[in-house]
Amino acid sequence: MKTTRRDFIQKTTAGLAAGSLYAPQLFSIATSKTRKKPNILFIFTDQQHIDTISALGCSYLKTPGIDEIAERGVSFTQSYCPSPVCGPCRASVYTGRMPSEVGVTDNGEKPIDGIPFMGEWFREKGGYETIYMGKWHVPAYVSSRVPGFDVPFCGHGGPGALSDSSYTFAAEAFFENYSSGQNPFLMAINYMQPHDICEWLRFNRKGKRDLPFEPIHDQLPPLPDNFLIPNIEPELVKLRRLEWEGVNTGWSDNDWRYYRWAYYRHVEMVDAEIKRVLDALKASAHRDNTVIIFSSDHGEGLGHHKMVRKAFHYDEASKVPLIFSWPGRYPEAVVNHQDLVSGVDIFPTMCDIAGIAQPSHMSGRSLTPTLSDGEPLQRDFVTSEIEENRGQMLRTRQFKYITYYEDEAEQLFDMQDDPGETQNLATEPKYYSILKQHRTLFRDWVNSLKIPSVVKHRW
Amino acid sequence: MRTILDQPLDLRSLQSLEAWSAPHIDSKINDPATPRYYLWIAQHGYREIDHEMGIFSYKRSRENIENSTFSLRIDLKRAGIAYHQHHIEADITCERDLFSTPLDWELKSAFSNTSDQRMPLYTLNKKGAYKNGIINETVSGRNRQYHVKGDWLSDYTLPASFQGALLKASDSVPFHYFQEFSLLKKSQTLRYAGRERISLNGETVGLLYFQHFGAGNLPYEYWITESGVLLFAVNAFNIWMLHDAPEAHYQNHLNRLNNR
Repeated sequence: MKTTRRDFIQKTTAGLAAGSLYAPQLFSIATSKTRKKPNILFIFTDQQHIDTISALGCSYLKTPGIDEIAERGVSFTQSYCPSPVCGPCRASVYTGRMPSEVGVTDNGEKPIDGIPFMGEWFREKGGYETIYMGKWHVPAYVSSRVPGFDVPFCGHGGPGALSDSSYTFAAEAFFENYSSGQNPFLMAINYMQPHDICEWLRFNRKGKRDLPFEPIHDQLPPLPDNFLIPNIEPELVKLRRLEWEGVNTGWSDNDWRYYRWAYYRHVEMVDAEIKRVLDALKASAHRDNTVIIFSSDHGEGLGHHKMVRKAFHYDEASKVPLIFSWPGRYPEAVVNHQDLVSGVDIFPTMCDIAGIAQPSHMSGRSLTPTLSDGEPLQRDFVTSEIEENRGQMLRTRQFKYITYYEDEAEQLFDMQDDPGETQNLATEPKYYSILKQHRTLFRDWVNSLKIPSVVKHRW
Repeated sequence: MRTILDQPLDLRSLQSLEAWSAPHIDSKINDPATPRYYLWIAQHGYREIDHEMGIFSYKRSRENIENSTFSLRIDLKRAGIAYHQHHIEADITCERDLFSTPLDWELKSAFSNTSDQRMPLYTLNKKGAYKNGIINETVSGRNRQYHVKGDWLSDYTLPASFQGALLKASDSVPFHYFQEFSLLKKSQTLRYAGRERISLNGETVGLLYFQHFGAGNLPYEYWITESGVLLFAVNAFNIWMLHDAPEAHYQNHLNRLNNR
């Protein structure tokens, strides 16, 4: 039976609202070899929890900007970052390789020489005009020198609340002034929000007897379902919890709820910038030939597992939003729950979008088949890593396995029965064969990594 | 060496840090005036030496005061690493009403590069006007409309509003917030939250305290003198501070950034 566009829109919009499964057989998108290379707008936020998009079901905030991208694109819900730490993740996303393969496994580390970065590749192989704004952190927090990119304004190295608006102004101006007859552009806007929540935490570490701002008291979101700490947890994870602000200083439930409220406002702040960029793009000559990709470097604890910030492998930190919008080429208003995807997939997918070859080695893969034609990705697992003893994560379709460098304890969660990761199954005899299977997968994955000899192999 | 302050910034914590030197305040409501501010932040804590102050410089001139309107000229500079700078200038005609409602405006946003040269590709000019509940904006000949039901103001005109009838507000005032004349954030509330007293140039001065809430914002807090001058605007860990000569702080900060 033929599917009309009206049927399609109704189905996908309903799917978006209900979070339905991707229906790949519905779509068959024509391609045109004569079409000009598309522009690419890559919007990358900092520290955004995956469940912070109102169009995808979060009711504690309003995100009209990101909603617009989701309503015109494909959103992945099984989307993981290659590292839940800023620098390693950014080094990874911008090279398409795992952090250890780039030599950046912690903040402040410099990537090894000779690996092509996204800007260099698109400029050299695709003839793209490449523009970068915002946080870099590989290793400098912000820099006027990002490989292969022009940087009109890198910011002052301070918080997103002050810099993000400047990036937006620059993007708005570029859309107005850059002729559509020139080379295609790749613009990467790396907003710093909602990372400012880290600063908010520094000012609110001590629990309060009375919460400030009485008018917001009835707006505080509830505690998350998985607020409590898992039954069996490695010491290194407990230490991670204690080394950061929050639980160690005796917050009350209301303190936690106030922090959650503040975090959602931070997300709304960056969403407002995104809305401005989208409005400017729509008003420009580039509106019909620009692909939009939206993601974040890592997530945010947001009180789940009594965690704040990042650098651990529970889903709150390791999952990130990932949306691709290319109206006319990709389906719209679709939520893909089935495919395991990763931040390392962004670069190879961009190469496909631009019609240019990928660099010789990439850890990720192009998502074009699933985006364009709805083909299942046929991927068994994705991984995420942090330096040394903070752990390495391997996520299969049903389970998540986490191992630590200096701690024999392991974690195994059944992500279908226990998506909140509250029951560590690693010590339960009936899961021993699954544990062994995941150990093997992990070891094989480690052995498959192309880690240059100059990089210290730390796990 | 940075000290985590462990408590939200407010009037008392600023005074205890000696982070601010009191300016001369001699302007009165309805007089021409050019208050200047610099932005003080406490990212990663407070530094005893070379704390980050003056990262932005903000000058707001109120002039051409007539029966029903007055003019505002905004000059905002944002310091960037490697001598990048972002410069926003705006000329605004405001109505002399409760909210100093903007009637028409021109805004110019420009960036300068590491050689202090303007980058035309990143220069943007916006014009706008408001009439009968509709904001009309023009960018490069293209028009955009925003429908506004009720009172509205922009972040550039909000301080001017304090100098009008808002000072008489004793409870909450609803408004819409047109941030940087670029993004309309609806359903905001400005709430009068009491009076405080501080020592200013050897005198005890009464300050009016306002809070601003709404979607898309962390709460803002404003401390206003009884003569209508905005002393501090606090938003999380960022504070605009009234100062007699903020330009020197700004230049110091720019130099410090570029020596990193």
